[in-house]
Amino acid sequence: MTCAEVRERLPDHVLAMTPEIEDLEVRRHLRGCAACRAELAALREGVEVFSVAVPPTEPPAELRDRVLDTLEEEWRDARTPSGTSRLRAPWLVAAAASLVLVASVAWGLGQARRADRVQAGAASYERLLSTLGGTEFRVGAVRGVDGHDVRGSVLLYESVWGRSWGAVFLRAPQTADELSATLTGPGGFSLPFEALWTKDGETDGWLVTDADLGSVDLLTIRDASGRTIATARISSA
Amino acid sequence: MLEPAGETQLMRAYAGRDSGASRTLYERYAPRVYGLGLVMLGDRAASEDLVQDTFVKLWRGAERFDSARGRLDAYVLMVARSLAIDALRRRVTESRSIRRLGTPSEADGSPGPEDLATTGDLAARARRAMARLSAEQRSALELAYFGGRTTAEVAELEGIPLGTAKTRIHAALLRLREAMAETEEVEP
Repeated sequence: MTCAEVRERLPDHVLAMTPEIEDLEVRRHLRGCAACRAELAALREGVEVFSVAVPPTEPPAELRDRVLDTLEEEWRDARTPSGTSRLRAPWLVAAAASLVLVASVAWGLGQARRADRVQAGAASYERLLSTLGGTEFRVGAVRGVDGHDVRGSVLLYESVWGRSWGAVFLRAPQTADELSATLTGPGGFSLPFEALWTKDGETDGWLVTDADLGSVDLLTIRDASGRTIATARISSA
Repeated sequence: MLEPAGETQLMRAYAGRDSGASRTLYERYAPRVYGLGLVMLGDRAASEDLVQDTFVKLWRGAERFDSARGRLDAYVLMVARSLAIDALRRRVTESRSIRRLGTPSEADGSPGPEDLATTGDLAARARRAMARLSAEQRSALELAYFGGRTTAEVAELEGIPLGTAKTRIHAALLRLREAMAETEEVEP
């Protein structure tokens, strides 16, 4: 996408009205274009001026207790303070099912050789991403290091709603122990999965987080002794 | 108004389930969110729901707030607007314009004591900046911001080419920014 094409889309982008797929392209361009980022910053200031022009209106007094009580309830229900959790709730299970589907699509995309199949896969990917309301999927192939027989894949989903997902699928036939998997990125970012327990040489793990997964570029798999046995470079699907 | 570092600290405390922080945030921003709800959604019950939903969503994303990327009030209103647009879409009703922006409705109450000194002044300056927009620019921006309309929808509703709608909104936002900067110079 060129600067002219991006700037044409900036009004919708800054007002959060850009279709998700288009917005992904705009975001990609903005990450590498200081001039367009400056233009965006100027427009954003304009939006801020517009937003504060709305006159404040005192809400009904009873609303205060309702909102604060709701927050207390929300805090009680929250499982972990960090916002990272294993998939347990029904909707998370549904999310996991979606991830399996996405993993299949991503894997299929990686394996496809025929142009028409790639095109169909890409369209499917875009539809899926648009439906979920996410920013992008990022994937990586897990490969064993130092002769360890470990294979698998990692899939990250970046959500615009602060509920990003990560999934790792491993086949490690020579390993019967607990494994650990950690996502890392620049600036010391580190996010561990919960312990992975192998069964019949296979294991998988999930996480849901409100952390920004956009900069994550590496998955590291370690054995029970802390030794690195496999890694995966993560990039856009 | 808090300094950026103070805003980040407040949101960190909110993320940590500090009830004092939640009360502070509510007192500081609930009138703004409620006012936005009245403009966008047009009724009190929906505006009350908007306030509740906004504070829940703010908590769920509180750890990610970064004052280096923008002011907290703008962030809160962005979250509220996003939720209001969702509500509008659910209703599938026509967008509401803010014809009443310069003339607050009978539902408009007084801002809180802290807001009077800061937010009230900011809002007044922002409204003066808005007076610098042409009627066409203002109409297009109102439809986009309060109605949650895309530029394509604005073009259709206004009966103008898509490029014109984009240009109007783009120019309106830049003019607002410039006008606000000028009011800051006049009223330091």
